[in-house]
Amino acid sequence: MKITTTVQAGSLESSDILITLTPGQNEDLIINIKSDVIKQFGSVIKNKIEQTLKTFGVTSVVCYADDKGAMDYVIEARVEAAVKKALDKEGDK
Amino acid sequence: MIINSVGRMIPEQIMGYKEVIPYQSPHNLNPPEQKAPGYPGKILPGENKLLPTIEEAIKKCDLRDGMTISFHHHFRNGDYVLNMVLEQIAKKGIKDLKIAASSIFPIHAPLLEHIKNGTVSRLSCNYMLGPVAEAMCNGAFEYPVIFRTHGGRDRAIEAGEESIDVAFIGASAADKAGNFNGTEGPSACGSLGYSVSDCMYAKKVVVLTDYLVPYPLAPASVEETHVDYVIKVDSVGDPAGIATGAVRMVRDPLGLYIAKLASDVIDASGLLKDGISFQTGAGGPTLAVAKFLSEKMKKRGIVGSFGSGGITSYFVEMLQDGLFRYLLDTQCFDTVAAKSLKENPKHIEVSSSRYANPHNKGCIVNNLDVMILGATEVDVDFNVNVHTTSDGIVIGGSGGNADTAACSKLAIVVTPAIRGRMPIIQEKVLTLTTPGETVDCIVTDMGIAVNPRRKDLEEKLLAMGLPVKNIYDLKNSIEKLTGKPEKIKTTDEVVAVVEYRNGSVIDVIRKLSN
Repeated sequence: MKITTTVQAGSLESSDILITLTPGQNEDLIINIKSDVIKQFGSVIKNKIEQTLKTFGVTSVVCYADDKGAMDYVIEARVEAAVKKALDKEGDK
Repeated sequence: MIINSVGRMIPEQIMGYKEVIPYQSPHNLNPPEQKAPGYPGKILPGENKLLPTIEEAIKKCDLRDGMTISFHHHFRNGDYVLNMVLEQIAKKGIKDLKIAASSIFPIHAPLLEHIKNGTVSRLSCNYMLGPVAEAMCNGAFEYPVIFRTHGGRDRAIEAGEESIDVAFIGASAADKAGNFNGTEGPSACGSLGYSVSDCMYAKKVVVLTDYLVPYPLAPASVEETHVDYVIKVDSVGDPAGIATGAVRMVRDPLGLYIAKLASDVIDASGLLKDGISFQTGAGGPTLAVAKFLSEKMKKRGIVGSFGSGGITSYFVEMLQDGLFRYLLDTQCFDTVAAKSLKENPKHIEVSSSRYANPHNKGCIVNNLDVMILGATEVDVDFNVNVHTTSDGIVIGGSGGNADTAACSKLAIVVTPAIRGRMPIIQEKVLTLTTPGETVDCIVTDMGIAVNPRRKDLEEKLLAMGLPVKNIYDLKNSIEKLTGKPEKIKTTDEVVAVVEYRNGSVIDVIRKLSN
């Protein structure tokens, strides 16, 4: 599944993460992360986002993650919410 | 490399630093036989100490390349003095100075320019926050910065290890003879406790003030007998900047829960009785412990002997409510405290040397019952880091952390279990500020860990039904939520020495990779 609209889920509150999904050019998942804990958890965050996108069948997207120290379950929830928003928006077209 | 008793790798020699004495234990080192000399002066009747400009003072003090100049931090992030003085020194082309500051704040960012242009080459301080700290971590200083504790700085000055050529003292009020204080005038900042040793032991002392009063100014923080010159400037500082840096009030329920838990620990310890002496740090939930302790004291009619350290409005309120007989104040953390110091005779200004210098014939922290400590992280050996964040950037320093932990009867670290995503309990702290052997317990929202050296305390806490956990179990349950953080990569290059209060080296801070 390709993401074809731009959506956001989450916030910039402490311990939250703001996920922005925008359409990708190619058949891949591009993930850009900004995080207060990038040095300690950068790869963990990236893996979690990638894994969640895959779980929901996303095959093409550019994902921006602005992380304020969210834990794994928060990241998962925000990515899921963003994907579902994108699907909703597409249904409206 | 030497490995000190807390397992830290310390270089055998550190550029620009005295002989390296590896940390061994909190009280093992003895003072030299004599303190450093004080410097006499000769002021004739009618002679004028008042100088028109900083430039004139630099000339009169014969300030030259390679000398050491000192500053105090009572205006905290509102301090104008350090920048003002350095600007004039740089104009005169003087190079290679050492700054002996008690603390460096974000407002001191212009210092970086003076490092680049060679005016300043070395720095020592007890606390550092902001652009200078960040630049230091990335190797801005040619010589490693020396971090001391509050008491350790006075020890070093008085032992002659930190020999000051010229002390530049910002005072909110002074008279033409050099008597000065911090309680009067438009820039009143309260106690000037960190300036006292500088004045007693520097070769030359220059007082800068924006509020010149008729002779004699009284009461004086330091008297005319120690002051060479007085300069009237437009403004020495912005009092609004005092309450930045360490001071954060806690309102969130989690912080309050932790504070309440800490007050229960104090209660269970048996120290909560008439005559209790008490101090908190100024950050995070530590301050809020005072609030809960107040409630307990009021309910039971307990009157404490003193509250000490950096004084906040919380402590002022406790004094006014009759919960302490005295406040012993080295620095005011807000303008309420500054006002109280001026008006309340039970609120006493004390020098930082009296507060915590281990090589005096006594100090206040030796009489302290309970200390509430802050931490950026702790480890399974109860070591405390208040120097660096978990990503390796310096955001503070010991201040009185190591001093009070070493001497109080009960030293409690109060901290949330998770900050951002970082688990607060690490295998090893990144920077070791305060040795675990001086820390009694760690209070978090996920449980209380008691130092195995304090079985007696653990029993008391368990008897009160408090949530005591083994520190490894606590660490594991926190990491279940956060995951295990990757280790921060550093190079071998030492950017700062962390000197323990007795003059030994407890740790070094290394330059970050990339």
